[in-house]
Amino acid sequence: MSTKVQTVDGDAVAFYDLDPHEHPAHGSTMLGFWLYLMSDCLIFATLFAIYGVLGGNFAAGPSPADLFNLPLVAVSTGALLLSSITYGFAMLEMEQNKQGSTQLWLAITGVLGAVFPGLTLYEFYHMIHEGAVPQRSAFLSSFFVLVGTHALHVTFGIIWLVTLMVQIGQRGLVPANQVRVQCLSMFWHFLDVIWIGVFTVVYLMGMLR
Amino acid sequence: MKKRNAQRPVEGFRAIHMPRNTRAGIVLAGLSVALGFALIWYMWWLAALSFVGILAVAIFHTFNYDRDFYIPVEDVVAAEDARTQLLSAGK
Repeated sequence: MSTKVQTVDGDAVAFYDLDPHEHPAHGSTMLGFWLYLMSDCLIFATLFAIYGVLGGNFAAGPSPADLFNLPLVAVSTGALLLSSITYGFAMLEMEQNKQGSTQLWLAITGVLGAVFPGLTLYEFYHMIHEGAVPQRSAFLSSFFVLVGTHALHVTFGIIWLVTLMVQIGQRGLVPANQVRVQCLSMFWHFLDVIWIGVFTVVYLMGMLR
Repeated sequence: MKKRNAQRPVEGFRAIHMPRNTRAGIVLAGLSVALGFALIWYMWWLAALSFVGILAVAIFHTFNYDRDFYIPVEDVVAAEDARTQLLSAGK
């Protein structure tokens, strides 16, 4: 960054930046958010490892094949994957500075996203009702913590989405809000990727066991 | 820098871009301490209260868009000039 300048004695070097430069208001936000996402990824990696080790210990209790309702999981998976597409549409509308349609696609994303934790709660309620509580076996403990952590993430994503829609309504698509939409987009797609892993490892492979 | 004959600049100063102070971080830290304490000692009312508090403070902070300011170039020049005078007085 330092620029060489010629001085009287001819060999001095400037150790400071002589060119005018800007610090864009959100220059480092994306890097910081990637770091957050990767540390969140470590949490899920840990929970997957726990499930991988403990997921087969049923303690003579119910196994995945007894508990899981695949059509229900298919619906919630479909809702979550669709919400990623609709979030993409919101991003495209934001690129063109169309505030109204951005808000509309964000709202559709929120509704589709809300289906997901709703169905997870319903599933948990049924399992607990049938006596398949987290304390029952190591499989159930690790199942509840892995799927529950993911559903909590989606819930916080929805809270974030609603807050952001209020802020876009107040201030419009200002640069600060555009950065927030981009960060939430990364968060949302990240949760989708994690769910693909949960869906495959917990539900599909669970039914095969 | 001295070895390579670096010269102290005495002109061409510009305004300095700075982040504004915020109390959000320390407040969130305090609430997190309360939440951790409550979870360890099974004080569910405090856990619920501090958790809702964390959410509320975090969301409230996102409504603050006034996050940066500039130290005006006059202040930078004044501070540097004072330093220049101090240095020349010491010679």
